[in-house]
Amino acid sequence: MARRNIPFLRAQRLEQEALTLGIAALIALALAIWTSAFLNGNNLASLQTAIAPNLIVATGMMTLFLIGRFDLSVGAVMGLAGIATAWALGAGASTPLACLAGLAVGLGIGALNGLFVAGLGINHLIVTLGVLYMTRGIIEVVMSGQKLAGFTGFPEGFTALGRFEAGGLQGMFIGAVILLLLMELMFRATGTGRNLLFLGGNPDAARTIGIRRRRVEFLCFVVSGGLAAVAGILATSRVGMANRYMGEGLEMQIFIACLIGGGSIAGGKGSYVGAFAGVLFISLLTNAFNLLSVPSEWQSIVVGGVLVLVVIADAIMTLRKQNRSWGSILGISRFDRILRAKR
Amino acid sequence: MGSTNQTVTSTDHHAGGTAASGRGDAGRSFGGNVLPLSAIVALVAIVLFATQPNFGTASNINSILFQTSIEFLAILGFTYVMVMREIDLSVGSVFALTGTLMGALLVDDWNFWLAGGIALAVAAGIGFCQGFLVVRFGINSLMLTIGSLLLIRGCSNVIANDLGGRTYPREFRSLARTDLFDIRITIVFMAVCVLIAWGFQKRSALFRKMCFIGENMRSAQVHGIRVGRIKIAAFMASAVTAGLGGIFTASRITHADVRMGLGLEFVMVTAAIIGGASLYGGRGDLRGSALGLLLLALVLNGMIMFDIEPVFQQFVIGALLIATVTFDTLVNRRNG
Repeated sequence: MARRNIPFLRAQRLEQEALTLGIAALIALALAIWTSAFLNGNNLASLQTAIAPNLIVATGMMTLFLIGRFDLSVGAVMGLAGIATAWALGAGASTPLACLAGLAVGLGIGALNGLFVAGLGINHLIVTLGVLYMTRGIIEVVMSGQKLAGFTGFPEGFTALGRFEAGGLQGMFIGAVILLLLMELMFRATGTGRNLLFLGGNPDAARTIGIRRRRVEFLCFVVSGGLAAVAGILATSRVGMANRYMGEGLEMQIFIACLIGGGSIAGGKGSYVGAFAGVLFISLLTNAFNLLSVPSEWQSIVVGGVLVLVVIADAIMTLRKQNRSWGSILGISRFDRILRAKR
Repeated sequence: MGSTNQTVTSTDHHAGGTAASGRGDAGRSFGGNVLPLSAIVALVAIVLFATQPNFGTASNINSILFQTSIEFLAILGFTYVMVMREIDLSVGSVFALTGTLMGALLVDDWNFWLAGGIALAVAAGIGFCQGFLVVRFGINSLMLTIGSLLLIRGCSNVIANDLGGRTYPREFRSLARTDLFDIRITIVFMAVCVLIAWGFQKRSALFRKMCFIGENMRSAQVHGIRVGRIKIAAFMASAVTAGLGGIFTASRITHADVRMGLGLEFVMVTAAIIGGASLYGGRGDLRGSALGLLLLALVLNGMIMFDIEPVFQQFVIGALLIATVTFDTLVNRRNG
């Protein structure tokens, strides 16, 4: 029997990822040709430092997407972790200790999410949304006596963490990419990665082959919280201040990046490369709007429109995979009959 | 306090007939939590009344009711979308777009009723598109409406920024202050709607069909219920009622504001679930939703009265949301 010739991208389940990456590359190319500011060293550096925290958060979010969950509290966790680190530094803690404090906040909130979702079986949308509100409330209370800029004036040892660069490449960007590649390796080469995909694709079947759903789910939420905290600490050290605005609305950007990059909220679909492509796409789009000085509301129109199109395309492709004819999908039955008559 | 209102005490069997399968208490709990919820709302109100002299003033109570009645307009359709196991997160954006659009048309000297008609028609169109896409392509409504939330919010902000800070015409500003029997017209409307909803939920076959769709869509389809039509109608109703609320809000705040209706969708989800709706469909009660909104308004008002930092409000809303849903889930699991 002849082997079916499956294209590489389909075999590796990278079709949507490749498409998103291609569009992102096109945006970059267009920007490089039409605007002089894009290839400017400053712009490239700020682009990298804007992408890096998003990539780190998206890595955690994609892990949850794989098992059919998501975490809306990441933006607030990022903010609170940055503030906790800054507060610890202000109280005289050493840099590693302060970073640990920030990380502990992230892991703690992640564990709280995990406890409710995995332990008690509460809907993850509600839990992470509630935690988002609660964390934002805590941030407001902590910052209520502070100036708008928040905590500033950090020791050099801490700011060096986010400002390290080598030959035009930002240290935190390289770190984020390495983290992403390691996760992709784990996802493709180890049983753990495949188990995540099983769990998202078919929870019941996954349980029968001995995957401990609750435990995996709990750990994924802890990982997501911890990575959001890492992103918050790095961003704080980069900009040199921790205030209430950090990470505001970030959860939606990351959520959309993961969807555009091939994830599905139903689970069992997606990859870390896809998270990378999605974040790249969103960040380049933001950069393009900034460089062309387009008002920010148009940006939300475009991102929202892209998301709606992706969701519709995804739904149509799913129906096609169930061998529904184009006619019945689009609801033009007459057209359908003509096609069938031809066959 | 939000955690004790889901207790299933009623043995109301009227709605039990259509619940074909699934969580066993879905039918029994219909209307079951309105009484306990009213008791909680009354309790909170009495405590506030007894401890805070400022609470009992006519102007304070009027402003709480007015605020609730405008939000109630937006939760009207939203509740019934949730009954069918769908969700419409774009309500906050449609709310803002409709209000701002009507304001912008009036600033351009359009006829009052024409402008209102066009704004509501746009809202209905948005609702139709969302419903159509969900029904035709089987799209997850959560994903779709997150996209349209951004899209519509962007459109609304484009209009708002075009207007700058200009004040709406006097005719439009006075709309929200219209009184009927010396009470704000939206409050009267809320009271009427709650009474109609009572009848609708108790007697109407349509509401049973909606619960059936929420419980088990496939099975509802097999029984010949026109799932698609009902869903599209519900999405349209949700957008139009949200638009109506937006028009009253725009008239109330008198000028274009980009923060209008921001985060409203999550207040709606919280209030609807406190009021007895479920994310898993098959349940929902407009009376409960109204009480949920009232409870949230009372709690926030009370926090201001007790000098609790207003910034802590977010924390309370979040905690209330999680507590309610946790209790709901645990109770359902025990019974079903």
